[in-house]
Amino acid sequence: MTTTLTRRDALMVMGGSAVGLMLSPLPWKLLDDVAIRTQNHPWAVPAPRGRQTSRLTRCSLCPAGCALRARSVNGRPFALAPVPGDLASRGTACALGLAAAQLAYHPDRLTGPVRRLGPEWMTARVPVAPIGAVHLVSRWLRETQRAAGAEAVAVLDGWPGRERSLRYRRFLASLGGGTYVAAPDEGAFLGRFSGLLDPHPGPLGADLERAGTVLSFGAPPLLPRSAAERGLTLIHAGPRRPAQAALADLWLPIRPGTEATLALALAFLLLETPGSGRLANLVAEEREPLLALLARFTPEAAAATTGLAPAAIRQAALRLRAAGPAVALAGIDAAAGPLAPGDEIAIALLGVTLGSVGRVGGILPRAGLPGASDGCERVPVRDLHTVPDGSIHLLLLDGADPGLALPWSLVAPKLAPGARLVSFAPYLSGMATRADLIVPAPAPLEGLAEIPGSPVLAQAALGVAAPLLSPPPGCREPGEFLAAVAAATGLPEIEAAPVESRLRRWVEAIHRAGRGTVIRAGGGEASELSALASAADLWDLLLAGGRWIDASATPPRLLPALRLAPGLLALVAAAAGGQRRARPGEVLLVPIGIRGAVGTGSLPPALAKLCRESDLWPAAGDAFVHPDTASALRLRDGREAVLVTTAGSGRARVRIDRGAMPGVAFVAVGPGAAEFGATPGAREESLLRLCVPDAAGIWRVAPATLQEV
Amino acid sequence: MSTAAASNSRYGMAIDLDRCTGCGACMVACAVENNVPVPPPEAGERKGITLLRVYRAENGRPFPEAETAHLPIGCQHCGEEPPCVTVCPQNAVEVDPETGIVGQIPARCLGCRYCMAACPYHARYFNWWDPAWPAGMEQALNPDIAPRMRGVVEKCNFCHGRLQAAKAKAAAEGRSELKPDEYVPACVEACPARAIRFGDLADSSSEVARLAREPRAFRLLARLGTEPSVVYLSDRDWVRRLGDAAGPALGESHG
Repeated sequence: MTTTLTRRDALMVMGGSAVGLMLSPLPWKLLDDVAIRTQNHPWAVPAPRGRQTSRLTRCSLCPAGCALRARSVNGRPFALAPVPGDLASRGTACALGLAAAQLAYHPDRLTGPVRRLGPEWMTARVPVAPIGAVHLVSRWLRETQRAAGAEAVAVLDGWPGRERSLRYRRFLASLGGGTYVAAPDEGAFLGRFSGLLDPHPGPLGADLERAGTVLSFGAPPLLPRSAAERGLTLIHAGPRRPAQAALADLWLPIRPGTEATLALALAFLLLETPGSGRLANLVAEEREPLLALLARFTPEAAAATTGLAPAAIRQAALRLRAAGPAVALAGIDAAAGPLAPGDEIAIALLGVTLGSVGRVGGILPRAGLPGASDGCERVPVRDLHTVPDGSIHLLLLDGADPGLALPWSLVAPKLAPGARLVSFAPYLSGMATRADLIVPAPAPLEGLAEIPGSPVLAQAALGVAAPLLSPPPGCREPGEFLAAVAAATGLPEIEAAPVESRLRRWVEAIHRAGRGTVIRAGGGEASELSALASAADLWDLLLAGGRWIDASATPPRLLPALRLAPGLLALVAAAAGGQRRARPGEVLLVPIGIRGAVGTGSLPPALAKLCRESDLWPAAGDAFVHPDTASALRLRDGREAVLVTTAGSGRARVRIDRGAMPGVAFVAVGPGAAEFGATPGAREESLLRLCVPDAAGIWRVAPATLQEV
Repeated sequence: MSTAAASNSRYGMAIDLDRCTGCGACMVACAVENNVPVPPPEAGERKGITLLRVYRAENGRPFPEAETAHLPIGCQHCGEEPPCVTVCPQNAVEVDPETGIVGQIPARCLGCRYCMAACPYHARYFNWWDPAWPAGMEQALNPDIAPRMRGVVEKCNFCHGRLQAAKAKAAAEGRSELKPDEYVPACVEACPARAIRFGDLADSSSEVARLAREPRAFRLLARLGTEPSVVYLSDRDWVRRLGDAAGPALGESHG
């Protein structure tokens, strides 16, 4: 018998084999092996191996100073987490703080001094030896002194009140009196409030630990966690609800620039209450004109200006009365900055009407940090807008970034032609990109840093962030750099001691004062400072993430009264009546942003990712407008538009937002996450440059046109 | 509350949407804990890996009645036949019977992305690129989590590395059960508003189980019967209705 193999048979065998192979484990195993193999590319980044450690510290990115647990591998911190047992922060930390361990690796990070080649528009920079940087600044210093005197040397301090701030002032004092400028911070309102009171009570603070209600105009202060847990009522007044007020009990959506009107209307309603004669007792001068002014601000009149319903204003006044003690505060917005002086005075007047001055749970005298007295009276603290235009020849820019914006348009007019800029920023970003020379300071976690408490609070506080990483060898603490400059210039010697020894002196002074409480980051109850045997114990406790909090302020025996000079009353009247309105075809530009993402610093990689891949944080360059406003201006969602103000023009992306106030364009400012990792210094400038500062240095609102490209 | 990783445990979350402020701390903590890299600029907003993604939703009312809610959405750890498990040809997705956690095993993953198509919650992400970090930062990654390569799918696994670490610690101390709060995912630990609670849903006395029984609790796409282990809470009707909404109601542009 012969077997004949036909073509059909051959095809059947081949087909059957193919089907059989598919049913066998062989191809799947092959795929599996290929899949496994692709997981082991030789260029794959392996997770680091080594000894893991954990320690407690404090976040040094803002005055909240939250307790953090840092986990490290081989001595490098890789993750930060809040500490649940910490009595101060109550186990909370913000997104920026949680990603702070990545800041040292930011692509913008500078590892040594760099100098710009050529004029301001050039971005090329060359490394400079540390000693070369000292001699360069020394030469610029001598030239400036010869040409324009010591006053022409200025320091712009990004975070006043730190030990580093004292060093700046001592350096300027050694010149014979330079110009020390403090960037706007949360304490500015209470400083102005204090200046209005007679007798002058000195520094003030809000006793939020014991307050019942906080009415915040602008961004609310960093509330003590204990107050929030206690059920403190937060009322926020502003055109947009900022992130800090996301859980506010009541939001009063007022038109931009009408804060003074609302404050005066609330004061009027509070005084209307029978038996409320507090104003007569607490206002020293100009009482009658003030009452006449207040009489103009009935709820109905204020409603027309603020855009609120009269009933809403009355309801707010009722809540202020009901859940006392109440405090009215003027906050500072991360992007829009402080309120105008007239607004702040009107809010101070409301505070007086509420009876919060000198009362527990109100506004109280604030004792300073023991040991932190500066002894630098020759160099007073100045606001930037008080510095004459064109008067600064050498500007030293502090690199600290407390997370608040400062428009370059506020700084630029103060510079003389050809002025030199030296920055101490750790990153090549923000204002540092304009500097002729950058001498990078240690980045967060790289240096020992103190964290003074919020200047808004009535109790001073101090925490210490321990260094968890070694800074690159080219980085230098600004105080030590300036001491070297002083020595090279032949100035009277200023102390060059390292940060630790200077902070230890503060801690010794606190221990000597013997007041207040200390809390340990790891948990447990707060204990009296006096229970600590020595300053060394206090230092160790702080270095382990502890915090010292001053004793609760006590009300003064003599209640100060508000003294309103005629000029100030006119300022209030102007602020309350001078609402900025947009003309037809225009919008009001209001800058917005999240604290920490609008300042001069750089975003950590994980946060840049969040900004890029979600819209939780407003993306820099987005303009949020109401649908009606968009319709009137023929704007479409997602399209590019040109934004024009008297300061210039820029491109923005239109975002139609039903929650935006009609007639207003809320423009997100700050470093754009989209440019993360782009060539340092080559980024587009923030739209903050379109905000126009007025004579008082306020840039909150600007009329603008918005036209689709 | 017992958070023991014993048999019949079912770990889950209760997320209070009325407390969530959309601060993003959970997303950042998740990315840091799990060594999630920043994708290259050409990635756009949809190709990055966000094991936990907070979506923004609006009530659709005009100013000033407009309200916003933030919905943190990660893997829902479906309790009933998770769709991703069913479709995976590689057995790269497995449900841990001890914990109820739906785990992803990158070493087995083929990158076919069937699971991404099957997941009704869009909670899975594909690695389009090899992971890369700024210079020097690779030395500061979480040593307990291996970076994943391009070509595999990943998702939230309730920080499984933390569970293993907690178990190892308990074993080293001679314990068979975990202490309360000994194991919590990074997002839970990071939430400053205490909006995310974590625990054993199978333990009726646990806080998370109690919250899941509240009238204001709801699950996403409950009609599909996937029985997620993530429960959301809200007093607001319009927020609760989001649970049954299709993707666009959350706002594709708001992701």
